[in-house]
Amino acid sequence: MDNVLPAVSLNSRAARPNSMDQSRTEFDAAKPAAESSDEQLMIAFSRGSNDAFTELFTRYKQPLFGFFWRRVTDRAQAEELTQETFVAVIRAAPRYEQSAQFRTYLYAIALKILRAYRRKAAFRATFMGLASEHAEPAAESGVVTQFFMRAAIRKLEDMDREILLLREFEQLDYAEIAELLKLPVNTVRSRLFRARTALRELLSENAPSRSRKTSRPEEDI
Amino acid sequence: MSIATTHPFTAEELMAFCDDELSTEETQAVDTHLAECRECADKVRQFRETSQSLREWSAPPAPKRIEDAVEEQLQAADQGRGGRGSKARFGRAGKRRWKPWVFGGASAVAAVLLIAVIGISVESRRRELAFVATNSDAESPRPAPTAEMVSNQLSASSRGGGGGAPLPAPEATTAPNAPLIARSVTLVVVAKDVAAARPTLDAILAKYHGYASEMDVNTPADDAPSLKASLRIPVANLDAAMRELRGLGRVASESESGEDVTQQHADLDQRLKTARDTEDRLRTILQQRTGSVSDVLQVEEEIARVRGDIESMEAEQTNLEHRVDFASIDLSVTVDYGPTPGAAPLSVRVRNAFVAGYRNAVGTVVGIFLFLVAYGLTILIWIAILGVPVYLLRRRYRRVRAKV
Repeated sequence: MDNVLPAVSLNSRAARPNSMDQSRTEFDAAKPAAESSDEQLMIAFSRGSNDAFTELFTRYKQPLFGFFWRRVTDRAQAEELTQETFVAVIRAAPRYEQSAQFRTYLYAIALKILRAYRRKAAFRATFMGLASEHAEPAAESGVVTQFFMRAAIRKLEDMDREILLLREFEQLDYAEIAELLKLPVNTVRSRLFRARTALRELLSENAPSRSRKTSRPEEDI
Repeated sequence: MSIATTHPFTAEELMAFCDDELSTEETQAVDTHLAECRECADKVRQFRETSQSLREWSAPPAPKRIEDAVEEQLQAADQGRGGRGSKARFGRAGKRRWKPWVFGGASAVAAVLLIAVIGISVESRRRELAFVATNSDAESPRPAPTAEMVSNQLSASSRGGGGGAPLPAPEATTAPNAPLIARSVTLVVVAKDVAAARPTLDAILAKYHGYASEMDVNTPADDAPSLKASLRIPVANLDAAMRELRGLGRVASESESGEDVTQQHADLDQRLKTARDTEDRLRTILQQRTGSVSDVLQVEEEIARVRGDIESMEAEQTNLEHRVDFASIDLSVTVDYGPTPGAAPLSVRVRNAFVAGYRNAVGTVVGIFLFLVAYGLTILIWIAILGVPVYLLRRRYRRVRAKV
């Protein structure tokens, strides 16, 4: 568990700019990149600063990998989708206009890439069958938790699950989730409530049997 | 997780409190309430516990490979930006910038070309029709008759025409030195009833000793009936016959033309005379001179050829004279609600449009009904054949999609 980074700590509210006004200030090349907001860095990158992109990459590599890792069953695929998202950011940089927070922009790209992947994978699997899912190495910590959590979350309705994940792991607020998923804020709130209630019940149902499952953690997830 | 209605905050609001989604005033109010209400405090604790247990599901560290791959892309982008200025930075992004312009420009050029092609096609068709209309009576181009010639011929013919009494049978109207004019008229009449026009037309033909070289009566179920005829009327009776033909209904259009065939007739005369002289000489040779059998046969063959030419020219001459003696009338009779744009008043056109619209609508409905009767069963069979696999695949796709 030592080298496992909690997603929330990497993408905590403290790391975010306090307001859009702050992000509108110009990127100061003399100032360390770590002190600039995401939006400033992205604008600097769109104007040719690779240092700005390196800083953005450092900030979002782990959260983005976690985003895909929780949503697809194959770890290698999660890696590939993470790369694809950063490549998309690089290619779209010349057209970047600051109309929302950078992380909303980034997750919007990630969601689009994820949907495309799911569509293709489902189409392929319809005719060729599902590939066997890759289990995390047994030595890696948290396998049992992952198993139950993944199983419980998979039982949620698609949209409820997405809202819950965006809130809990990507730490997006209700308005950002609403913007990303093109839903009213009230709908986001009610669906999030429903998802949390359902998840709590699912986890409490699984709690008694978790001790039995721990005896064979190497089983495919 | 439902909460009693006596509580000032709903469970959703308590959840929003945990997510820092309430306003400052609301947050303070919930804080105050939680200090007093154990039940609501428990709900808040449950929300926090659920979130806490979710956070145990932490992702493994992102592999280094991601960094390498992205770095490679970044370098590729840097190379792409070299020499293109700061605006077109990345190769592929730069290309995307001009794509809409290319598509837009290509679409505009294609549209202009399409319009030009259609325009040229319509214009050439219009010219072709105009040419055909001008030359409808002859296969080869001919000189236009002079106004003097036409008026002479018209006045000559009008002397013999007119009147309701039965007319004498036509005689040759060609004088030795008078110009020969082949007259033709195109007449479009809009009548109340096409069926009633037919006997009237027969009566006119009988009265003026004319005949119909072609007659075509159409009464389609889904369209207006029409009558088209090519009439031949002795030139002497043309004006009188035209007056009666105009009486069939309202004249929508009328045009008249005359072709001067004097020169053509004179040429034929001369060629005939020469051919007959040749034939006479050959016959004299055959009677007066003797020779070998082959010579005799050769002369006879030549006589037969000249004879054939003479008969052909005589037929052509007869036809030419017939065209001069009998004027040609292309008559077209349509019903009142036929398409007469510009000629009919607006009320008639509106009424016609309603009639046509109603017929089209009924025709469409009947057509769909007949199509379904004819092919409905086949379509159902094909839907069943194709639909079942599609349904199964779709169901499988949905099931699989939830797992990927």
